[in-house]
Amino acid sequence: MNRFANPTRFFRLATALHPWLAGLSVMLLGAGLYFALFASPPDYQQGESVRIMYVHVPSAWLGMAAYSVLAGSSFVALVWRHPLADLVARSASPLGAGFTFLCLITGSLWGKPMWGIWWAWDARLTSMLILFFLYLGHLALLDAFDDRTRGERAAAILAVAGFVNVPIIKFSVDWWHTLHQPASVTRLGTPAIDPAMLLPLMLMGVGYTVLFATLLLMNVRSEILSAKIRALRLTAS
Amino acid sequence: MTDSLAQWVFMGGLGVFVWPAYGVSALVIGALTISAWRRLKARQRELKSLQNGDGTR
Repeated sequence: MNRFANPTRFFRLATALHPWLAGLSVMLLGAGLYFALFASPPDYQQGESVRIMYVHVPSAWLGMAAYSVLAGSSFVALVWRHPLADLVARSASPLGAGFTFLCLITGSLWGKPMWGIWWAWDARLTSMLILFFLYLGHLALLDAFDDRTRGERAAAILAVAGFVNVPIIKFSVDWWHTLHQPASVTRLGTPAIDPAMLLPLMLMGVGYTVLFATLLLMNVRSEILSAKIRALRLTAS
Repeated sequence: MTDSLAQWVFMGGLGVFVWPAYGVSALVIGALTISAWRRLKARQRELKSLQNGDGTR
């Protein structure tokens, strides 16, 4: 594992993996969209609006998963000062912000026909909005200082401290009375969801995850190249 | 055929919520993908020209 923590080796591995990950995400998302929009039934209570679930739930998963990557790499950057860790954090943040934004917008579009409102200050929705602000804060802090390292330190501290919000999002539906429904897929025992709906949800969920991995590796490669460019400029000047 | 297509698009009146959800997802994911791709290509070009200019290659 440590072998690939070397930026040059990591770059080579990420470049080799790219076509496979990109191809797999296209296949998974293509199949997922087919089942989500054509080959899955409407819900007996929610009707056709249940189809929003296939884009809403994966974006929520990825919003939180990307934050876990961000907080984990920020922790490694703070404790071990590993050169790759800051680059991973910088690469994960815009992606996580994008997925969290999607979760909020698609959730709002689902909430209007089902709850009659676009937004509620309920624990799940509010903690997800806080996650979005954490991403924006992280992105703003990264380049807030002339000294790049200082910005990365400050952003990493925010990312690690903000991780407390991730379990709050996950368990908000159990800890408080929320408008948002509790977990249906990850609950113990059998999932409370019909297999005909679980299939597109899983395809989209895995598709979003592989797509996130593809984009994350692309962004890390860009960051490694940027570091090389900065080093070359320094030696040239 | 046209009727069933219209029915599918209309989604029992819920299409006005379903389609924008898919549209905004496609837009944001497309933007993330294009910006990641363009940044990578730009960095590759920049590094190449720097290395060529310096004669380090």
